[in-house]
Amino acid sequence: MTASERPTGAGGRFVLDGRPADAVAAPAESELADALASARGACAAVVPWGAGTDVETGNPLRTGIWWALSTERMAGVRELSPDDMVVTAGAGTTLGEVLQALLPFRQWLPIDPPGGERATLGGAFAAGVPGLRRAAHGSMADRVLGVVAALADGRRARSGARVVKSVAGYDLARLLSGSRGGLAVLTQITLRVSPLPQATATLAFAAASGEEAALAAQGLSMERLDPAWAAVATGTPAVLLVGVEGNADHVADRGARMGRVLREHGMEPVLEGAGEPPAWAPPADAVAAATLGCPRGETAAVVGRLEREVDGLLADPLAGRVLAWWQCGAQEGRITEAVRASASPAGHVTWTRLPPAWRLRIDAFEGEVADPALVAALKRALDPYGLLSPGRSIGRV
Amino acid sequence: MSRTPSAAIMRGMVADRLGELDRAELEREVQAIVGADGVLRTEAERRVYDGDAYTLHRAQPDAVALPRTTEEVSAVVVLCARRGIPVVARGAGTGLSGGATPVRGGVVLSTMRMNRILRVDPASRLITAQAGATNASLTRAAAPHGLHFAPDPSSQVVSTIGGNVAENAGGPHTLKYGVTANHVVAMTVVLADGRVTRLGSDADDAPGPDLARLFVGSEGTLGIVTEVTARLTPLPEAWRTLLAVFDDVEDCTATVTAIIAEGIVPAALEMIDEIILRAIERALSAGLPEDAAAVLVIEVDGPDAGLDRDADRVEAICRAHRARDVRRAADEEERARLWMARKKGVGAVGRLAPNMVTQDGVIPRTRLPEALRRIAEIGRRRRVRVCNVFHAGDGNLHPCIVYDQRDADEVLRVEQANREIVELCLAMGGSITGEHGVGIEKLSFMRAMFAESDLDAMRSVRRALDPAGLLNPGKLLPESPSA
Repeated sequence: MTASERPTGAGGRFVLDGRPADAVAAPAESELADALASARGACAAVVPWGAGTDVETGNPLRTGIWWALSTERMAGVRELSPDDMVVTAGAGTTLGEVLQALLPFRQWLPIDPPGGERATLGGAFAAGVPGLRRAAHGSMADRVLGVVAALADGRRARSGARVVKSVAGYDLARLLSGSRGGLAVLTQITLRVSPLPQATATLAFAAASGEEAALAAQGLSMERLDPAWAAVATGTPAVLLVGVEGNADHVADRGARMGRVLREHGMEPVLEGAGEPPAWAPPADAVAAATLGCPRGETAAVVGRLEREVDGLLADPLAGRVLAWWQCGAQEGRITEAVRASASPAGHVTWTRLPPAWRLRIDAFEGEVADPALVAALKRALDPYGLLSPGRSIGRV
Repeated sequence: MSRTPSAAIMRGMVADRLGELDRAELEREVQAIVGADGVLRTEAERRVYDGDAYTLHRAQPDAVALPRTTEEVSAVVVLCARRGIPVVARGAGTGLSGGATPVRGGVVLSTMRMNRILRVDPASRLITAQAGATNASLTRAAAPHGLHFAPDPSSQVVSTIGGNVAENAGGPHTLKYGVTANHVVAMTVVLADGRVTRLGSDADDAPGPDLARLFVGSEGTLGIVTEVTARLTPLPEAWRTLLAVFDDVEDCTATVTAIIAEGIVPAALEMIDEIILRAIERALSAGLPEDAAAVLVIEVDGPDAGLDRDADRVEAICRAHRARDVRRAADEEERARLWMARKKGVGAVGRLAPNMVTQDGVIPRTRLPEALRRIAEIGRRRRVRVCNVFHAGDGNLHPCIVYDQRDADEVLRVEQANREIVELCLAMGGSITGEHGVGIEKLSFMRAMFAESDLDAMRSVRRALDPAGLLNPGKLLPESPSA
C-alpha cells in the first residue's frame, strides 16, 4: 500500500452497499497509475469517489475487496478564461469551488446535480444525472469540451480540447458521462460556462394534482413560453414551480405571460419572487427512490399514474423525468410494480436508492438504457481486468 | 473545384482492389440484397462515389449500394464482414475532409434512398428520420409546429442528417444552440457484425455511457447510422440581425471578443472579410459593403421583449470598436438575404480562382485578432491568397486559400500555408477541426494534437466495436506505430 492510501474502518464515509472500503487511495494525478497498479496487485476493485453525493446509485459491486479512489487531491480550478467562457478543473473540484471562481466575472456553471455544490465535477459527470436547470442550460455532457482520464492500466487518455468546438477524434467524454467510474477514472474536465442571467424570477402555482401541474407546464411549452426550469411537486395542493431567466424586460414580460397561461389552466398563484430550483434528490429519510425518464410529452401521464403510489414525487416536465420516493414501510413488490406499470415504454428507470437486500434482486437500470452488449465490449476494451467498479453499471457490467 | 494537397496523408492507404471477377460477384451479391435498382453498374456511375467535397484524393469503390432500409444496410454489412471488404457510409458527399472517400475500396453505402421523415412528435419535441434525410428537411417537417432542427451547416439544403451525425456538423447558429451532438438523442445503427441496435433513448439522460453521442463525430467508423432521433428546438419568437461594418480587421475581431466578454451570447456571430465580401457581391449582389475591411453578421434571438435591449448593447459595443456602420435587418426578407450571403460566401470564393482549400481550425476566441494577423502573415510569406469567412463567436476559423492547381509551385506553397495555419491553431491551444472532421485530410495532424496514449485509447474503442477494421478504414485515427 502506498503512502497515499489509508485504511478506513467501519463508519468511514467511504461505504458502498453497506460495506466500508477496505482501503482508500487519494492519489495525486501523478500517483494515479501506481495507485491503480497497487489495487490490481491487491486483487481489489476500485471505485472512483468524488464527494460521494450520488455514489449509491448502481448495482452491487461484484468483488470481495474494494478500494475507494478519492479524487480529493485532483482538485482545483486549473485554468479559467472568462473572456473565452471556458474553465478547466481537476475532477475532484467541487461545483461550489468552480462557482466561487466564476462569480467575480459574473459567470456560472449552470448545472445543479443531485449533490448540489458539494458534488465534484468528476462525480457529477460520471453520474450523468442533471438537475432541473437542464432544460435551459443542457446537461453537463452538453457543456463538456474536453476530458483527461486514466484507464485501468494507468495510461492517460485525453479527448476534446479547451476550445468551444472540436471534432478531432472520438469524444471519449461521452463514454465517461454516465459511466459511473466503470470505464476510466476522470482526472480533469474542461467545461463551457455561461454569463450569469441579469434577472431571475420564480413563480409558484397550486394545482389539484401533480398531473394537472405537469399538463400546465406542457401548456407553457406549447405556447413556446419555455421557462428556464420547471418543477412539479406533489402534495396538497400540488405545486408547479417555474423559473425565468434573462434580462429584466424579458423576465418581466415572460413572467406575466406565463402567469396568464397558468391561470387559464385553472392554477392559482401562491408565490412570486426569487428562488433556486429544488434539488433533484430524494429526501434523506427516503428508503427507496427511482427516477423515471420519459419523452417529455409523456411526463404528465407518468406523474398521473404514479402520484397516488408514492410518498413523494418531483417531476421535471421540461426534460421528461419523474423522481419518486418512498419512506419507511415501503414494500418491494408494491413499489417495483408501481414503477414498472407507470414507466413509459420509450423511457428508462434508474433506482437511485434501495435497501441493500433489494439491490440483489432489482437491476438499478431498466428500460431503454445503453446497449448492454456494447457497454460490456467497451468495458473489456478499456478495463480488461475489470478493475473499475465491476458489476455496478448497465447489465451489471 | 479541388482542395489542397496534404502531403503523405495517403501513405499506407493503397487501395486493396478486388479483381474484376470478384468485383462482379460482389456486385451480384449486393444486388441480391438491395435490388437491381440499388446497385450502380457502370464505372462512370461509381466514379461519382470516389470521394466527397475534399476532392484532392479520390479512390474508386468496388461497388456502390443504395439501400432503402436498415435491414438492407445490415445485410450488406454482413456480406462485407464475411468477405473482409470495407464498407464506407456516405450521405450527400458534402464533407470537406474526405470522410466518405473509399480509400481502401470496398462498398460505398449511399443513404440517398433512405430519406424519409419517420416521425415528428411536437409534444416531446422529437423528430426521427432516416439517415439520408436532408438537414433542411428536418426543419421543414418541424416548422408547422413552431420547431426546428438547430444545427445549420452551410450545406444544410443537401447534407444529410446521417452525414451531420458522422461529422458532428455545426453551422453559424451553434454558438448559442450547439453542434449536432447537442441535439441527437437516439439513433439506430448497424454494427460491424451487422447487428442492429438502438443507442440513446427518446427520454433524455438514459443511464449508462452516452453511446449515441459517442457515435456522433465518429465518421462512420464505429457503425452505420440508419435512423436518427433528434431534439427539436422552438423557433425563436423574434430575431434581431445586425450587420456591423468595419474598416479595420482588428477592430472587427476585437468586437467579437468584447461582445462575448460582455455576457451576451448571440445566436450567431459570423465574420466575413473584404475579399469574400467582394466575391459575394459579384456573385449574389446581396448589398454588402465591398469597400469594408470586414463585417460581422450578428444575430440575437429569443422572446421579443428584451431583445431590443440586447441588440442595443451589441450595437453599442460595435460602435465602441469603431464600426463605421451598424445596420439592422428591417424584415425577414432582409435577414434571409444576409444569411444567404453568409452561407454562400465560401462558394462565392470559388469564382476567384480555379481551386480552393478551406481550413477548419479552432482557437480560443479571445485570440482572434492575433490569429487573423498571423494567418495574413502566413499568406504573405507563402505568397498565397487567404480570405476569411467564419464562425467568429466560436473561434472556428475557415481561412480559404484560393489557387490554381496547374501551378505546381503555388500548390506547394498552399500546402505549406495550410499546414502552418493548422499548426498555429494548435500552438494557440486550439483544435485541428471544429466541424469538418478529421477524415483523411487531418489524419496527419492527429499526432500533433494528441499523445499516442490518447490515440491508443481511441483505437481501443474502435477495436471494441469494429475488430476487423472494416468500417470506413483509413479515417479519423492514424494507425498505431506498432501496427
